[in-house]
Parts: sequence; structure tokens; C-alpha cells
Amino acid sequence: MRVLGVSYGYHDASAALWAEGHLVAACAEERYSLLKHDSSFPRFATRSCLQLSNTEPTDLDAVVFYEQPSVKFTRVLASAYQRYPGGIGQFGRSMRTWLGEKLWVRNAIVSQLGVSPRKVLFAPHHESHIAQAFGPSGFESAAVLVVDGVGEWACTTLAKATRDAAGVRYQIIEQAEYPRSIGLVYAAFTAFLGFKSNSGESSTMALAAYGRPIFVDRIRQVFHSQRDGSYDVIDDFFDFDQPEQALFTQRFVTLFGTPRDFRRPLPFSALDSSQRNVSEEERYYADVAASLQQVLLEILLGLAKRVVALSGETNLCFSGGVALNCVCNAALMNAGVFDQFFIPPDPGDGGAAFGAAYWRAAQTSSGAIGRPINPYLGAGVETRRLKQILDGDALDECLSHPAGLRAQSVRCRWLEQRDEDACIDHVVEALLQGKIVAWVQGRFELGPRALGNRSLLVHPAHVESVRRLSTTVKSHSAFRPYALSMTAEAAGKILETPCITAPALKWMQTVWPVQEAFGEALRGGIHVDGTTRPQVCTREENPRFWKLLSRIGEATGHAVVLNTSLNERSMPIVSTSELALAMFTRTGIDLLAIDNVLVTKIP
Amino acid sequence: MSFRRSILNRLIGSWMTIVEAFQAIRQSRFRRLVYILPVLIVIGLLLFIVSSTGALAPFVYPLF
Repeated sequence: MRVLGVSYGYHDASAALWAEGHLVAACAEERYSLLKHDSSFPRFATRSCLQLSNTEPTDLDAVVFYEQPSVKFTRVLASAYQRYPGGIGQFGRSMRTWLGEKLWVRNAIVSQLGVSPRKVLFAPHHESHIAQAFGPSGFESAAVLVVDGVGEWACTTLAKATRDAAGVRYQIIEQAEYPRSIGLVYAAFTAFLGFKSNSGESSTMALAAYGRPIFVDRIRQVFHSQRDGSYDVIDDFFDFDQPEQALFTQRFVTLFGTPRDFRRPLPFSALDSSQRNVSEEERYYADVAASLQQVLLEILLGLAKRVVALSGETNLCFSGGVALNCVCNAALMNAGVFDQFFIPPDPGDGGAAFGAAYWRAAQTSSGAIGRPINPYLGAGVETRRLKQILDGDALDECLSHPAGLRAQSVRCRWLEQRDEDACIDHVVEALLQGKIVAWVQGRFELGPRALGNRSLLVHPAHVESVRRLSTTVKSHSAFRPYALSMTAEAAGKILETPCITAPALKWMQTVWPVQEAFGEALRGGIHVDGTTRPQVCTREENPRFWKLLSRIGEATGHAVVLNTSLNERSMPIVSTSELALAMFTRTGIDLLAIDNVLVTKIP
Repeated sequence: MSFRRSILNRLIGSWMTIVEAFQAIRQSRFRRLVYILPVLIVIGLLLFIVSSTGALAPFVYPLF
């Protein structure tokens, strides 16, 4: 059985292919279109998934879309009906989009892939998320918690999932419907704090580390947990129906004050132990972020306890956009509410495409197999064309490719290593000298985290190199921290965590304190609150990257490296070797390692 | 896929979508919207025809 899962139309369009009992490919459209959070039909991602598994569209048994457009359309109509006569202009714009494009998803899939319309299926949005969380978890049964912005109507779902020889069964226990949305409340606060909603939520989380949770009571006036574990969102403070405008109302502004001006940079720095030149106003916004983070945690903890109690299960699977909140994920793990915890790679809508594929596969006996997932599901990298590019006329063409950004005028030197060990030794030496290394190997990762296949690496003891990385490569806001990758062996000594083998630690989904003794040696990858978002790399999951980390450990005593995604500001993570070369030439990266090929700049 | 087959698939796809949209509204708490949807679809189709064919251009042009 071959099932293609597709998501598009809102943000993070993606495609995934499930074949012969497991997920064989999954990737986001942005990696090919080079538009961050691209929401258009994933034609390149679909083509890539089909090529990776040698599948023709006619071989597909089903194409599953990650939500039901007709039900979502009903919600849009119902919201307009309830607001009438207000919001007529917004209703007109919305109907134009829906009647012109969004409603006709089946036709779009049929015309793009040439499949029969009867093969196109629609999974309820939160069932896609349930399948995405439970399918690859490996659990026989589990409680499932889905928390995101909004699907069709559901914003939060509590469910139970079980697996047997006949397939997988999902039982929805309880749902909170629009507008009681935790994800949209968090997005509204994100907009209030001067970041872009639906993409700047990680900045809100980073800002929280600089604040004190002193406005918790004020946040609870708009958004709070109940004693039974459910929660309330007070409607008067939010307006989610007009996404082009602010998601909050005048009453919200009366309570929290003027929204932060997004044009003013924040003065905080993750690399400085003391924060200087911070005004009262800026500290206020950080305090609001910290308070929001605490209230969110209370609510998620309440929901986790509730779903575990109602389902009678001891394992918990968590998905939806809110599962990207690493601070809350770690606190949930620490709470001792459940035995085992699983968050899929890319738990948001980008990963819902593979959830949709699992949803269909789960209805058959072949879908009953809970094979573990690895996040390296994108296209591979090849170096043959690189040499031609560097030697010949294709260089200009290659360098001018991504979004019209111009390359610096640099000359590059090609250095092919004979074997993997020599290449790794060269990279380790460069890192220890404080150089910035772009590390590219194998198939690219699913989701927003670079896990050692499309990564920028710096040794975290070289704080000046980390600053150079921020200014000359990433254009990174100073208040946002970097993350550390480490071997599983080193993680036990470095992190204060109850369980280093949990999948959430392998895929940078949680935040943990670093032991004080390592504070200086790993300074570049530690946030101001002494935590990091680690990738605990195992030999089984990524042997080559594990070997690199181990070599660093042999040389320095700590098998750790600062690891951030290989992309520039407002650009998606690099997918191909050509794009990696283009980025290398126009930024301050010192060394590019693509498999066993090393490229350096000639001064 | 032949042109004829492609047109047929699109027609089937459109029909299935319209049926699903009505079913979704009937199953929701807002059943009265069933009467609003046909009006919206007719307006949508008219807008599509007018914008894609320029059918009203001879009448609209003198206004500018």
C-alpha cells in the first residue's frame, strides 16, 4: 500500500510518502521553493517524495489531505454568520479565497498528480495529528494530546489510541472547539510582543528566559486552567477571525498596554551573563513572556493529567504546533504524570502530512506496525556537480539561484578527502580553531531542527566565533539562544535530565539545565537561564555525526558542539549541495563539508 | 492523462466537493447556512466567469 500525505493552504506545506509498512520520505515545500513557511501546493516536495521511493502517481493507493476543507469552510461561514453585520469586508475577502481556491483541494490534487478524484481522501485535522503522534511512537496504546491553533473546529483534542493486528484505533475523548484555542492565544501574545504570529513563537519562548513571571495573575484573566484540567479562553480579549489584523482586541490592550514596536531590536543577549541597557518597558515585555510561559505550562500540565486520567493510559503522545514549545515539553516530562513521552519530529502542521499518510495506513493491517521513525526523510546530497560548478561556468548560475541573493566575490578551494575519518579530523581541527563549519551529509531532516545533516557548527567555547556566526551568517537576534548537540554518552554528565534516551531529547524538543561545571566550556550554546535545547545523538540514529561529536570529545574532553540550522535569516534550511555552496560563498562560513568533500575560501 | 479524462476528473472532483460542503454544513450546528451556500457558489461562479472572460468589459470600459 502506498499513501501520499499532503498539507498546504495555511503554512508549512509539505508532503510525505508511506509505503510498504513505513514512512519512506517526507519534506516541506519551503526547502525547494525557498520561501520560509511556504503554504502553496507542495509540488516540489511531492515530486521529491515520489522520486525517493521510485513511485509514479498512478501507483498511489490514496492521497490524503491533512484536514477537511469543507468542514473548515463551514467554520468560516459560521463565524461570519455570528459576527453579522460586522466583518463584511473580511467575509468578502475570505470567501474570495475559499471559493476561488481553498475549497477545491481535491481538484488541485487531481490536476497536479493526475490521480482519480476518488483516491483523494480528507483526514480530520486533529486525527492527522493523533496519527502523526501515535503512529511512529512504537507504543501499543497511549493517551494522545493535540494542542494547536485550529483545525476544522477542534483546537485541543484529548484522545486514546490503541494498536492491534487489524490496525490502529483512535478514540476521541474530548475536544475544545474554536475559539478556545491555546495556539491562537499564544500567537496573539506573540504578535503583542512584536513578533510575527505563526512563526515567531520561538522568539516569545526565548524572550521568556529574560523575564520574571510576575504577571501570571493578569494572564490568567484572559486564559487559565480549571481544577479539572480543562481550560478557558476569555473571548472578549481576542479576535481570531481577522488574521490580517492583530489577534487581540482593544480590551486586551487596555489590560496589557501598548504592543511592542517590532522595529525596535531587543537589547537582551543570550551570550552575556548580565543584561545591560535594558529599559523598564523592555523588561515588562520579557516579564509578560515569562508569565505567559508559566500559564501555558499550567494549562498543558492540567491537560496532560486529564488525558492520562480519562484514558487510563500511562504513555503520552503529544503533537500540534504547541508541542514545539521545548520549555513546556521538558516540564511535562519532569512532572511525573506519565511513564513514557513521545513527540513526533515536526509535531506541527508541517509534519501533519505524514500524519495524514499514517491516518490512512492505520486503517489497514499494514499500518498496525509501529516502526520507529527517524527524522532524516528528505532528499540526499550529491557532490558530483559541485566540482563542475566550482571548476566551470555553472558557478554564477548556482550562486545567483536562491531568491536572487547575490554571492560575494570569493574563490573557493576544493579538497576531496579520501575517507570519512580524514574528513572528520579536518572538520574537528577547524572547529577547535574557532572556525564556522557548514556540515552537510545524507538526507535532510524533517521539521525545523537541524539534527546533524544540514547544520552549522561552532565550538561553543569560542564565544567570539558564536558572535561572528550571529552577525556574518545567521543575522541572528542576540536574545535568541543556540543549541548544543552531544553524544548520548556525554549527555549523562552534562545535562540535568531524568532520561537521556527519550526521543524528545534526540530531536531537540526539550530544554534542560546544563551542569554548572560546564558553563564556561559550553557558553556559546547555553541560554541566560543556564539551559540548552539539546540534541542527544546516538550512534544508531546518525553514525557519522556521532563520530564527529566523539572526535570532538577525544580532543577537548566534551563530545559537544554548537549546532544550528544551515540557513540565513528568513530563508528555509538548505536542502541541496548547490544551495549549501551558494550560502557558503555569500556568508561568513569558513569551511563547507559535504559528505567527504571540503570546500574552503581562498583569502 | 487525456484532456477529456482530465476535464471529467475535474467535474467529478468539483461535484464531490460541493456535496461534501453541503454535508458538512448539515452536520454542523449551523444548518441554516445550507441556504446561504448556494447563493455564495452562484456569486463565486459569476465572479469567476466575469473575471476570466472579460464578459462585462464592453459595459464597464466606458465608465473609465
